[in-house]
Amino acid sequence: MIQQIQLKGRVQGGAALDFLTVEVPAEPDRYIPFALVRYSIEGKPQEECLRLDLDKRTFADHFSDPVQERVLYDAARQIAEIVVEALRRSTYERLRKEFDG
Amino acid sequence: MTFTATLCQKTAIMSRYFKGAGVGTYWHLRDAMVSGFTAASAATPANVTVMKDHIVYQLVQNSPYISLTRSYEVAEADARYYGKTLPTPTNVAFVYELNIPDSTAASLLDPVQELATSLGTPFAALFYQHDGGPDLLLGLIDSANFGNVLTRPIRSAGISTGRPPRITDELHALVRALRDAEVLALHAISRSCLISKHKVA
Repeated sequence: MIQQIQLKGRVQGGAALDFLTVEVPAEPDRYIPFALVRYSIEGKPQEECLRLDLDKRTFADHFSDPVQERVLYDAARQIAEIVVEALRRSTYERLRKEFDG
Repeated sequence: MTFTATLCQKTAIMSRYFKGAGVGTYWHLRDAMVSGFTAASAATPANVTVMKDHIVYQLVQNSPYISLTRSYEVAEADARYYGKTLPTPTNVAFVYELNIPDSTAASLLDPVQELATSLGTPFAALFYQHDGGPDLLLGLIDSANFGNVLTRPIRSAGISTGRPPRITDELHALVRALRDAEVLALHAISRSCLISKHKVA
């Protein structure tokens, strides 16, 4: 299962880059430290995602433009924080169901 | 008889490696079963700084190293969830399986050993050890549930210093390499080492 989280307006873009959504694997019995980030360049959504390692808090994909690369570097930490918060909420809700149910 | 069988099995397992190739990634678009593996930048000098950049900052395009793993499960997670799009039944990801018997087939480096030997002595001013709490490693290996320990202000002699723990690239790299059961090949891996290419949908 894949959990999709909206990023629009929550993550600082720049240099023509905007971050739209992040897709996170949600497997009940394991933690997968990866996420795929959908983004746009000059407002045009891109077909391929950017690969984010949630533990490393860095992207596996890079831009040759150093300004865009800087935007990517800063966004990695912001997006990882957003994902971590969502994952913790899911864990909390799952545990609450387990103990209340 | 059992002892011999166990020994043979151990020998077989010892040289087995895997590499995940998510949809749209370099080794998904190219068939390593035909060409073998080559590093993205064989011309880049191999050293510990480049190794840290490869592991922690994922600067693979400037790297003379090729990441492999001892774990099929790690490679499968890479293939399934670390492509540029998710795999589908009509556009599958792959896990390459390799057998690298000795250094004539490929030059292999254990990043943990390489990083460890590059670290200073306990007398060095620049040390790789963290100065956070005893739960700090939990934050590094499970940031989803324990990420708060990476930003929590550390205490010194009973008072809060107001700053988060010091985590070096060296510590990051050691933990990440262990997480991924990672082994690095230098420059290239001959196609003769490739055994099979498993589909992951």
